[in-house]
Amino acid sequence: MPSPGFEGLKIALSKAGVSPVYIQRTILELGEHWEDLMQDAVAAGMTAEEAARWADAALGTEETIAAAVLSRPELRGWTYRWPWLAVCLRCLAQCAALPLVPVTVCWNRGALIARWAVSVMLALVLTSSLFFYLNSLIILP
Amino acid sequence: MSQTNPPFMSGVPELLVLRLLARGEMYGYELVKAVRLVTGEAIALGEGVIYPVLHALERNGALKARRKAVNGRTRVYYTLTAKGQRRLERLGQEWKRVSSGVNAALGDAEHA
Repeated sequence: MPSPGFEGLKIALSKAGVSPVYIQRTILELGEHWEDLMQDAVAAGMTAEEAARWADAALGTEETIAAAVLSRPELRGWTYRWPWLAVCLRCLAQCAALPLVPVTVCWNRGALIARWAVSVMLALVLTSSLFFYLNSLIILP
Repeated sequence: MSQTNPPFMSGVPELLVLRLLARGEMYGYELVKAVRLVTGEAIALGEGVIYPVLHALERNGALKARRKAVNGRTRVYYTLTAKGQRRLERLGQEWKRVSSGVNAALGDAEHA
């Protein structure tokens, strides 16, 4: 019989800001624990269904386990433990990204930007020449 | 002024876990069985609740964890660190201080 996936627990812990490392570890260890409980129960003479029910009861409900994890603030991610620091760093990162984005885009597409610049300059020269010629027709007799 | 002891009751699982791990490395299931055995089943930890205790102790540097593949299974073994040893001594002293106080109070109550 496969061990329970603890999906509800995983979601509850993620939503509460528990560090992903500890979520993964908790799920892994609970799954292994459940397997051990099953093996011992089957060895003691229970059927697979009885053993699974017994293992579920011995392990405790997902709500109880989630409450125990959430009572340990050190297991939460740093953005949850220091929200002001997270907000400040996010703002700094966004400010740094503002000038970086166009520079990076230009850097990666240098040839395209150069072609575009040459085209614009040619168009500028052509247009200004045309205006100059038209102006000269009007002003000059 | 007398010391307060807020971690007294909440520190019992930690104290037991640290004491058992001082004997040698163990994984979660082994620890739960050992707690039941050494306390004569007087203290039965909620089995799934042992992992937040272990993870918090690891996070605080009192324990070290390592993964080990055993018969196609992944076991996470925990060992006590030097910091954990110091914490065990501190919690043990706290426990003795409080329990002797409670015993004295119970003795007084019986004589009264």
